[in-house]
Amino acid sequence: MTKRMVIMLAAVALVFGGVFGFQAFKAAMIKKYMSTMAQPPQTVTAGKANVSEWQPKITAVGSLRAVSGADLSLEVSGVVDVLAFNSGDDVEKGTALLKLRSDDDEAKLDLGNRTLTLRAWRTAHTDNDLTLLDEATQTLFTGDLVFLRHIPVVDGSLRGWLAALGPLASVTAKRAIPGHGPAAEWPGALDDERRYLERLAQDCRASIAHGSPLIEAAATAGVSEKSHWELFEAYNARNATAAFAELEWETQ
Amino acid sequence: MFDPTDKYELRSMVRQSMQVLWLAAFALVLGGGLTQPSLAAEPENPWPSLARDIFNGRDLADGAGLIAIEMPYRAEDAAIVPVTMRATLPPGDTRALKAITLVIDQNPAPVAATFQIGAGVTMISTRVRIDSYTNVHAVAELSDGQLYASTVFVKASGGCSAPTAKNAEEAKANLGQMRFRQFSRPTDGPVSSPREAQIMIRHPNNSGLQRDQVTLLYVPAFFVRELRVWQGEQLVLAMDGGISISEDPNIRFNYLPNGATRFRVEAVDTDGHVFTGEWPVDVAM
Repeated sequence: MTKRMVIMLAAVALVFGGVFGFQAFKAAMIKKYMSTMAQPPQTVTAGKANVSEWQPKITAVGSLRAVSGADLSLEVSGVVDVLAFNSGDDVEKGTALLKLRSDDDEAKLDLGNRTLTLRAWRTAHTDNDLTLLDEATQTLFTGDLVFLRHIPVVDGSLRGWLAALGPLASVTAKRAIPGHGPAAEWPGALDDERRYLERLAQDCRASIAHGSPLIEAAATAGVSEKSHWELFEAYNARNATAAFAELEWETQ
Repeated sequence: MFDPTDKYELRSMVRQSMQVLWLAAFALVLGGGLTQPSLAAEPENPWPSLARDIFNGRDLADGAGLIAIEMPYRAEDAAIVPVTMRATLPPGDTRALKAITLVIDQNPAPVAATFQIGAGVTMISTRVRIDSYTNVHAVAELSDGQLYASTVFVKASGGCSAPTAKNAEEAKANLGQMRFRQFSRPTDGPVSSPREAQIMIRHPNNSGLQRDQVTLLYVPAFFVRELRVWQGEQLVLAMDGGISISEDPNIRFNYLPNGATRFRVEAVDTDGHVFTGEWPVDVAM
């Protein structure tokens, strides 16, 4: 029995010894390997200095370029309507060289007896709002410049949006297809949205004038509109936050 | 007695050896497991290592009752999340607030801002970007050098990469414009009682994580890195800011009037632009 125990203990000692011995050996080898990782030798090339003839003249073919010149570029891209010079002309300082199409915010697509008018708007709901008017049926596709039922979402500029409502309402159309909500009679489709945005602006301005912090305004601005809109909970406080941060910069 | 011919004896020995081998194998696995970093399935709480790195291993005590941090539990707009930090030292405590560091644990650059505090400031309120559900820590350093941390959890996401400058052209034209507001009211007490003021500066504060909506390229980081407010010659507040501060940085704070007649503000952004402004101190009514 004792012998068996001794053999068993010896076997255990052997296995454990092996395990820990191997770990210690591994650590030692890693340490040894790491310590030999010194800077590798650098390669140096040597050459002999000698005297040779200086070449005073070389004949070759080349091309000339003017010492002074100017590359002209435009700050904005667009369609060139008028080009007021010819290549090689002398031009006076201050002369207009070309003219870009200036009514580029509006484009007409003639599909054959069907003219579509596309119009780009300044920052309002977003900074890239676009409307499309089908003249034949007097139908205005407003994109997200018009929200019905779904609470309007301010991703661009509240002031810009309010400013766009006037020109938008003056677009001649019978009905509008809004970005959110059902098709509706025009320009009556704007009424709900105008009322909400004006309320939001008015409430935020009052909070700012009163010196309330943003977090308070986010909780209170526009809440009287709650019953009129779907998804009010999801977006009103966010609108109020953005509107407050924007309107804080208004001149008081 | 051991007899190699005894089958029963032999079998029991083999069984014992097998047990020992299992034990050894187990020890090996355990040992190996300890020497290698475990592949954690759950996201680790980054705070312990963040705190160690930011504060050079200094001890952080619980800030309950000394420093309070307020944020909405669910942020409305992840790119404009209001945060308010208040020192709430109990009356007998003679220590003063020296600095507050605001850390948004899960943001790509967690240190949102460090505020060095002049005399009398006990409240700072600003707006930050929040990239994902996160703990937000306010760490106050008091005049005895001790650090105190308080934390709040915020649900919000996408604030760091939300397209900046809802109106990019306007933002460019107005870069560096400043506005200073003082919230004094007729009901405010004598000149020596704390007052509130707010500094606003027009700056896109690009985080470097936002994409240009037309080119789809990343807009390089470009933000206000320093902002200092003086009352006369006395520093009221100095902020070292990072990319987590919202567009158009906006800081509201309280202060003790020191009798000076002018406020002066200087801001420096990452492109080295220096913006300055000066305003007369509103006379208490």
